[in-house]
Amino acid sequence: MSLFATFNSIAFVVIMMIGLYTLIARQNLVKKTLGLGLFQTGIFLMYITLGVRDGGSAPILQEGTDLAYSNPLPHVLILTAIVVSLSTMAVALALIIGVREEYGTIEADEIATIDRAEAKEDHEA
Amino acid sequence: MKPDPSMLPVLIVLLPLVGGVLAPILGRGIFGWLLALITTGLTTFVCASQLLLIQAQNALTPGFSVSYPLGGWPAPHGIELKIDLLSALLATLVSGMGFMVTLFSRQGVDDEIPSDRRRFFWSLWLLAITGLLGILITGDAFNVYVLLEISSLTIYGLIAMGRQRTKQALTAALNYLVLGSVGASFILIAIGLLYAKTGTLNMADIHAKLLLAPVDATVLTARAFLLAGVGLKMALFPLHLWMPAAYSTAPSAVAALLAATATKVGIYMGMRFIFSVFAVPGDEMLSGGNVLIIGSCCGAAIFFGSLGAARQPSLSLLLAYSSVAQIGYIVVGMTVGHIDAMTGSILHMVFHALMKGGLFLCAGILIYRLGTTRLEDLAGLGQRMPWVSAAIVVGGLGMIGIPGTAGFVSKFYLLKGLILSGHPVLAGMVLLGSVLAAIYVWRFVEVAYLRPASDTPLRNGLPFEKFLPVLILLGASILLGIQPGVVVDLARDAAQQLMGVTP
Repeated sequence: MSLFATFNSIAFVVIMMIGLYTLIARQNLVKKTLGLGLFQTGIFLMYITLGVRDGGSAPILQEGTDLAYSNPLPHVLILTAIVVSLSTMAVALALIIGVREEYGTIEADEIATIDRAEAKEDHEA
Repeated sequence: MKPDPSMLPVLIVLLPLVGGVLAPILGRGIFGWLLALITTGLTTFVCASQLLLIQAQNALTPGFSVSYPLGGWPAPHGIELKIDLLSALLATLVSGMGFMVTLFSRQGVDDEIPSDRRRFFWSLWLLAITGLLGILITGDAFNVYVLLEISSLTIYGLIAMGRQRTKQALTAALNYLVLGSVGASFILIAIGLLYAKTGTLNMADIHAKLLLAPVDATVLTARAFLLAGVGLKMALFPLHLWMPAAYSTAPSAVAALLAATATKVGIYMGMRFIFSVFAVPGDEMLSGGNVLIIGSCCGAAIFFGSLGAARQPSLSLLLAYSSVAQIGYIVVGMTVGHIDAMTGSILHMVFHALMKGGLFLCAGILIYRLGTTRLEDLAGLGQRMPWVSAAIVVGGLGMIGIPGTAGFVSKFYLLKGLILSGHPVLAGMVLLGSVLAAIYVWRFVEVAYLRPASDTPLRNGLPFEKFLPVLILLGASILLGIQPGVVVDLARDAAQQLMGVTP
């Protein structure tokens, strides 16, 4: 395994874990969403590293040359995953706008307090 | 030109996809509903024809499956659609439920979704069905991930459309989005690791290459990520926390579709990957430690799900927690790797979809007529809505598994398989679950029949087209409880095909 691949393998785990931690630990919904994005970015790095080959260049077929090239398939796959991640982020942010309109806050703990208070009111009524 | 019968598999995803794209353009007024109805109807027809074809062929050559190379690129390099008996059975179920719920939801959608959003609702609706059906019929691992995200993203949107009724739909959708995306990302990691190991994405090809290579850390890590991701998607205890809020706040049609199909497709992914990709013949499907972990998750799901259902303030939440328990039954059957348990598991997927779909449709009728499903407001429902409350009781009896309902048949096979494979504790949990189910069903009976009628005003009458799907679904669950033969044979053949057992 080359130095590049080793470094990347460690880096993607670190990025993923930072993302996952942000996702769990932060109360702010936008920050949670950013954590999710970071988590998915870590996975992209994993896929990209999979395709890399030492000394490999872009996979362009040229007559007369027999160059080593990187595997393009994981890179193509991850293009799809990037689009998916982008759409997920867009849907999440759209939902957060809706939450802000209805609740007036984007802090998860404050939203939970509002929900509980309303459930109690509802119960007493 | 005479239509080529071998083109049919691709229609299963193409029909709802085209419908979903057309819906925002053509779907104004009643046309969105009509479009969805026609599309899901045609898709059901295609799925059912595939099911009959595969069943007939399977009788001649066991293990038969239909394969369709997309774009003419042969597998393993191209993407392959691969339909075996289990895929066809579940695809028929998913599209059929889609049709029934669409039939149900014309006024419901008019009631719950503002008019300028309805065509987008139908678009998301059809795209969600596209994704779910696609997962069932694809033979390509990365395709599973993409289709999973198509169905998930549309479902988040559909749930959030419940904000007209309750603003909690937004937080429920966001919660589901975060957990669902983490689950899907885990599946993506698993697929990446499998690709790193085998250099291919076709599931059959991955399986063939894994058989040649020794099981190493890469494969085990992939399996762990996959099980965690699929567990989140199928809402297996303790990863179920997104589900009750999502089911109880989504528009009633969406709740019925999700409860009947979405978690089932999650379970299908688990089955497909465990048995068609990771399984090594002659070996235990899952090792003892795995059975212990997943089995205790299932036991806890049955216990806490049923107990939770008995404590909920509204019928929607009660049904959602009951689903948590039912997922436990289904997964426990596939875990122990016994043919009868697997048959029971597949049967329970079908029957639970019929019964829980019917029950959520009843909840939808309550929302349409009363505007609420809070149990307090349902007092005296037996006199105010005799038909609907009778239907809920029938569905509830199926949840308990009273003989004569479909729930009994599937639990019978589950118990038989669990006992024969030497898991008496899990069998005990299944029985205990039935007792606990009796408690939460009794709560409804007590409220509906033994309390004086509440004075919550009825807003609407009972439209026949709303009650017809309920009648068909719950009627089918009773009919299949009395005459289960056909479906049991199908489920047994599907289980044999999945587990690679020759009869």
